[in-house]
Amino acid sequence: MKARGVSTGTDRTRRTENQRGGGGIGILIIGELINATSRSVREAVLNHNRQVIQVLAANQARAGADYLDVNVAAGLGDVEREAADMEWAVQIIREVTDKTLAIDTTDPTVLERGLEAAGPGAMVNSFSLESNRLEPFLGLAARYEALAIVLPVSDGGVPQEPEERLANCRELFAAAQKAGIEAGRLYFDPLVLPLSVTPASGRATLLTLAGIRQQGWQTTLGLSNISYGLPARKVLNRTFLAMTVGVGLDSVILNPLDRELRGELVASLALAGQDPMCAGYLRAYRRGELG
Amino acid sequence: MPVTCGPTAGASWDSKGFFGGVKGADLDRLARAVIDGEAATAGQLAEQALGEGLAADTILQDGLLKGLGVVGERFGKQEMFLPEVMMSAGAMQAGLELLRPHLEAGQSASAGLRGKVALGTVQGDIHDIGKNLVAMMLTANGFQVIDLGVSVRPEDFVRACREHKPQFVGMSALLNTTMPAMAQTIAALEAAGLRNGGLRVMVGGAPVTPEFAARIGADIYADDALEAVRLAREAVGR
Repeated sequence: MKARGVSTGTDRTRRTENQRGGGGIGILIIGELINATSRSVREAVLNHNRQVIQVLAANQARAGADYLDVNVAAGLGDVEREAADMEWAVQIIREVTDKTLAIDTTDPTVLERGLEAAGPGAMVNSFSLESNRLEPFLGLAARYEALAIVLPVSDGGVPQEPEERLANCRELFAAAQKAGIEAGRLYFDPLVLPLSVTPASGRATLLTLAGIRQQGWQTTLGLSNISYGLPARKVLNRTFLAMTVGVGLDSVILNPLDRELRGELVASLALAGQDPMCAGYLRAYRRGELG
Repeated sequence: MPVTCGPTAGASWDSKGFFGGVKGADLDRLARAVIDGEAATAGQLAEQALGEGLAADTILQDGLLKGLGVVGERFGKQEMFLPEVMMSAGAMQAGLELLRPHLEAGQSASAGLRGKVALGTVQGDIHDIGKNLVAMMLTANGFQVIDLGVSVRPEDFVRACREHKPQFVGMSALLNTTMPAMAQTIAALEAAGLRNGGLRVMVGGAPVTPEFAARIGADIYADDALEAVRLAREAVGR
């Protein structure tokens, strides 16, 4: 986070702040926009259009993203091609930003190429108890000293009940420990199912989040899932962000270019006691980011 | 909610003219119960209509399905939303359960089962919401659904098709990273000689596009659960 206007004092405090992330607002923001599920990104990946990807990377970095998610799966069914695309994407993103990259894939070959290109300290997005992924992903995360997002999902699917999700989290934690990945490198995602089809979804996420926090583990969240299938999604996304921050978020996956959402995040952190002396809130205000 | 009043107020649905005003009004109310997602009312009205001597098939076509048609339209126009559509499917289901014994007596072309669909989320993908919605809407529309669950291996799709002999096999994927499993499953079905016997492959899911569906040799691409139903109905000619 460079050029922050307000001085942050010594190098040391600046570094601490950087680790806290979010342009120093006490939470890590993982930018979600480089994802081949989006049509324009998919085309850019297929045509190796550097500019589209680099602009997305630079814009998200500038808007306060600490990590950038990278998903290049164009659905062609060609793992070699996808691995090559991942390597390409990581390399060209590296030309415009040094942000940590989250390699977003379900395939170990693609993951390995991404981690190799990104260098040490990248992020694995994600591993779960799904049997085809668990061992190879843990192995790669360990070998590349990566951070990892952990999903409490198993071969049986996505558990509805917070207790089952927490049981999966414990199993995943144990597996990570065994692979030599310490707790500080893990971010547990409580899972967010669309409210439109799972009425108890919001509550299940909040209870799971609280349970993960109780274990002393770090959390993350894919926010916008909550509003799928409902109108005026932004209202739900923002409100849910405030609620989940209230329970305890260490990082969040979202669109960092959504200025209002960022305002909501800054305010939520202050309200949740994660912004000592409202420093982050006031800084955001002075930068004209609020209201 | 934008859907508390009737679908096409003032318009007459008994255009076929073979049932009288009162019964027509009953079917109007039945359609409305489906639109409003009122399962208990839908059940009552379906029962009442049977009691009045209306053919089960007429009640299905001019009551339940007409209501669901309006739901589909409004969903497409974003005037109705998923939770409401699910409520409507529930009401449709409630009505259909009452009609089913009479439909399966087989008095008419659309009586009974429209066909069988084997459905699953592809291997490596454990997301079941979309798949469950499709299953629910197909069931509500009188299809028999064999739900194979999540992360279904190609060989398990093949086995289910051999065992149940469905007219359709439906595959869902939420992740762009698991879409290739659709192609692998189609290849497995082909290798097993199952695609010559009239089995139609239907695919859908957030990252799936019509172009992708065409490229991997799927027969039907559906953009959402309601379209899946519409296309399946079209394909069986009912």
